[in-house]
Amino acid sequence: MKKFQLGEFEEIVMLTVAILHENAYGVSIKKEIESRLGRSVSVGALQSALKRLEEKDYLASHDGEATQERAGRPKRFFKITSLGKQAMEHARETRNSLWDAIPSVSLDLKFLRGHHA
Amino acid sequence: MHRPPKFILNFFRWFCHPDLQRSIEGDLIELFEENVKRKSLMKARWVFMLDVIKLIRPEIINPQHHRPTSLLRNHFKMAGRQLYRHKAFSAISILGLTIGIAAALIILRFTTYQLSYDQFHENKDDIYRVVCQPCGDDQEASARNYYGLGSLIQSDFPQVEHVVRFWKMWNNNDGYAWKYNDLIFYERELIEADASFFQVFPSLLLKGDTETVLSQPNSIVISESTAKKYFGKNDPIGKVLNSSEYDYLITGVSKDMPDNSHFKVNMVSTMYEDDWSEQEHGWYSSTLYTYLTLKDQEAIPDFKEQLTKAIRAKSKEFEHLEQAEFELQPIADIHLDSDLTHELGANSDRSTVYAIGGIGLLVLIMAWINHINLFMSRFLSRARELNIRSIMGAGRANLTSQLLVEYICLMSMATLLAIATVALAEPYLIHYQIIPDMGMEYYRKDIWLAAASIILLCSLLTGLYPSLLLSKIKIQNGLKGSVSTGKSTAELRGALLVFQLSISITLIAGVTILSQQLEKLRTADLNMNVERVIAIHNPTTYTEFEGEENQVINYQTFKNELSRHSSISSIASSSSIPGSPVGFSYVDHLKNDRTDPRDAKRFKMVFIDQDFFEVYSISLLAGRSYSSNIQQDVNQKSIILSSSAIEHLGYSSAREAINQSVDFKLFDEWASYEIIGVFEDYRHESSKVGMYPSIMFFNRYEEYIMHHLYHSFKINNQRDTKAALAHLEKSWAKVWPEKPLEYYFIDTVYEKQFKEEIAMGNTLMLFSFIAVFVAGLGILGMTLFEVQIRKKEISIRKVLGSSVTAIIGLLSKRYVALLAIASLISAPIIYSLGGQWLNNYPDPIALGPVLLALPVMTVLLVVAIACGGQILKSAVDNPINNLRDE
Repeated sequence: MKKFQLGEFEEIVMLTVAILHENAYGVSIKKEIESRLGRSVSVGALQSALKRLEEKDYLASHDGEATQERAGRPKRFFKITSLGKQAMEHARETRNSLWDAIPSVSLDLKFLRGHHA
Repeated sequence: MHRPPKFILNFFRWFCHPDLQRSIEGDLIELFEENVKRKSLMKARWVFMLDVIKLIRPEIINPQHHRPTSLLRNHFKMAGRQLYRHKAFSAISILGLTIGIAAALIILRFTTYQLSYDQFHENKDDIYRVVCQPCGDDQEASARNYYGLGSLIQSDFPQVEHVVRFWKMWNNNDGYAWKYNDLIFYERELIEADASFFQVFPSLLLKGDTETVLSQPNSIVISESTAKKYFGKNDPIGKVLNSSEYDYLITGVSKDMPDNSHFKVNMVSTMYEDDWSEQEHGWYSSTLYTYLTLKDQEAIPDFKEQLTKAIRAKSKEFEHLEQAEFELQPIADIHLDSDLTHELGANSDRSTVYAIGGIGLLVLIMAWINHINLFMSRFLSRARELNIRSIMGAGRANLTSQLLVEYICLMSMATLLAIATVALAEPYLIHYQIIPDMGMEYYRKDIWLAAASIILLCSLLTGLYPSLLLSKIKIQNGLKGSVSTGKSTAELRGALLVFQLSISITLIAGVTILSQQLEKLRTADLNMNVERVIAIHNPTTYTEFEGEENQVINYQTFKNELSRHSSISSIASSSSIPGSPVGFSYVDHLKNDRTDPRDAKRFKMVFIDQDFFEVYSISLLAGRSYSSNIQQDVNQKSIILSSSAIEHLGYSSAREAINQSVDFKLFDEWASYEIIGVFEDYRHESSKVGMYPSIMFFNRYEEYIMHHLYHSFKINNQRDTKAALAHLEKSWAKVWPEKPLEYYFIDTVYEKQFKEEIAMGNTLMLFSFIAVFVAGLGILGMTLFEVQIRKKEISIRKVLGSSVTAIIGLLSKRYVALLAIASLISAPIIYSLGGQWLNNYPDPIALGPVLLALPVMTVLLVVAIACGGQILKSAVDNPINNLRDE
């Protein structure tokens, strides 16, 4: 089980990188997560997650060409590695197996409502 | 384009992992730019700062920053605990230091800006301005010079590389209209110069060749922003601009001059040599600014000697040159050291800049003092802790470094907070003119470095002092807890507090003096009413795109159109408006009789039409105003003088002067005039300039349009302002649909004269507030400590029958005494410095006792607030709480 470690936020980042395909860099990832999940993401949280994922070899990065905008600073684009893909699949499988194991009664709406009140 | 706060960006660059830095920085900048567009600059800066702070994470920090040795790590841990445990003390210390450092940063920006003037010229060390005294019409030293001087230097002086003369073609508010196809703009800051202009100032030229760009007549070099205004992104070179009846070919583009330049230029055109024929003007009138570059600075004495000789030779032909002295001013010194007549802009004053720099340093020192004070108040408890440490084997170096680390923690927290504060406060500081609105690239790095190293050094000393003191205590005493804080340290703390209080008192007094003087300047003997008076720049004066007859008709139509509004009764036209210099018109030889040899005073002259007095509510003491129906006035045979002019001519009353005749020379011709009216002296320029005798000369609009630079009218009713302005725009559009409308409220123009005083007032206000606040913190810290160590004593006194009032008296006695000493120290400073500063004004306020009493009372109030709570609490406390442990 220790083989693939992927935190919740890390998983979201991986998925977003995959969605954005060739165009995944800091700002675009941040915006994509913000628009899809409706939550705000700080640059710090995102960058540290990206760094961690890169250290785990789940992501690879390369610098784009410097352009006029962004005061000439290059964009760093991210790509999912094959290890990263395995980690994502692993996460998905784990999750699915957990879903499958839930007895149907525990998702009964009445129960949930009662719990709330 | 807006840029994110530099401080914060640099801080980010410093802590960020080098591999990540550029790409994350790009992301941050992208987000910042987007936020500027979507929200506001203020908001974007704020978000940027938060983003950077949130980036401080282990993954992102440069690994070099987190590898301290184990001992150091321990020091940091201990420091953290200390700061955490003594929250009140730490908070006071950090708050004080933050404010002190923030104040120092603000002042540093102010002073470096002042010292950075004209540093952007690459050859700044070689450029000099030649000034002279007496010079032409000016008895006092003048920034302008003779035409002949330039020619003389050009031909006979081998030491000089290039020399340029230029003529300033704009007057405060006036602009010349320039036209390109359908675009017309009023342009200010234009000069006519010798072809060598860009050889003397090569850094100013962006496009074009320094040697040839102005060599042809009717060439013009325009600034980048001007080019953008007319041509957008197109290349301006080769295009033709039109002004008055002339076409100018654009041959070059110059740099937009930064604010820290003692003169500003937007357009440079070639000077007409013919206009300045050597014989007539060469050595009589002095209207040209003359700059030169020397090949070698060593040549200055040689140059001066040769110049003196040459002038002496000239004075055989031109007698008035006999007295003339010429001087070279290095360009970088002009802004701070030169205060001549006809300066190209408002210069500053070196001693004021240094004084304000001194205030910044003082506030910082106050914050350090606070820190030392607070630290020493905890002497006792710290002594015990450190002694146990040394028993456990820590050496003195170790203890000192421990304390130093603690101080460095405090200091760096304070520095970060201060940087954030300044970055966030920046828009407000710029708005109140405390710091200039300018990119950092124009500041002087050398001064920042020097200041930074001074601050660092002093910081270290401040940190080291208590550490050394503490680590010297004898172990046994420390452990017994019987270390006395010692008389000397108590005295030192007292002295430091007196220092803080005196600074506070002095600064508050400064603010009071300044605001009183400003109030006096604003209101003194105005003798006119500029409220709701609006001036319009005459659209026809410099745009002779239409015939003169048309202009007169147009003005009449405009006047008729405008006066239809119920709140606008009369419209005047004049050569100058209150709040701006009278300008080029002055008369030297106003005499009762032209044969009178006396000729001491200069008179200033304003050309007006019949409605001027009414619009500005200037009252006539005797006689009548001009009228366009009286033939004598139309023929310009009558004259209206100010009461001081009448006095100067020797009449005892205004009435006596009426119908008398005077002679003066106007445009080189003597004529006699009959005095038909005398008006009360009014402040055409603020009382900073002083009152001068003046002449109001009648000039019908039809006669000489060149003298009618402004039209002004009054809106009679405040409520109608908006409607009247709308009416103005409509009337304007009817008559001059293709011309841009420029109008100003006279009271705003008038207020601009006090810009320096207001900015200075704001600066002083901010710093006295800061100083008082820091002093208050100091007192608070000191009382906290004192009350703590005297707890038992107070309780015993109460048990023995002392009353609450007696105890309050006992505890506050010391502060009152310190305040009294501080007042005694600051009184002479206030009165001598205040008196000196007030000498700059022709009409200073009196320095009364209030100027000392008011600040002292203010400080007393702050002292009471700062220490009152603690003292009161300990005085009413039940003695049992403090005695039962014994």
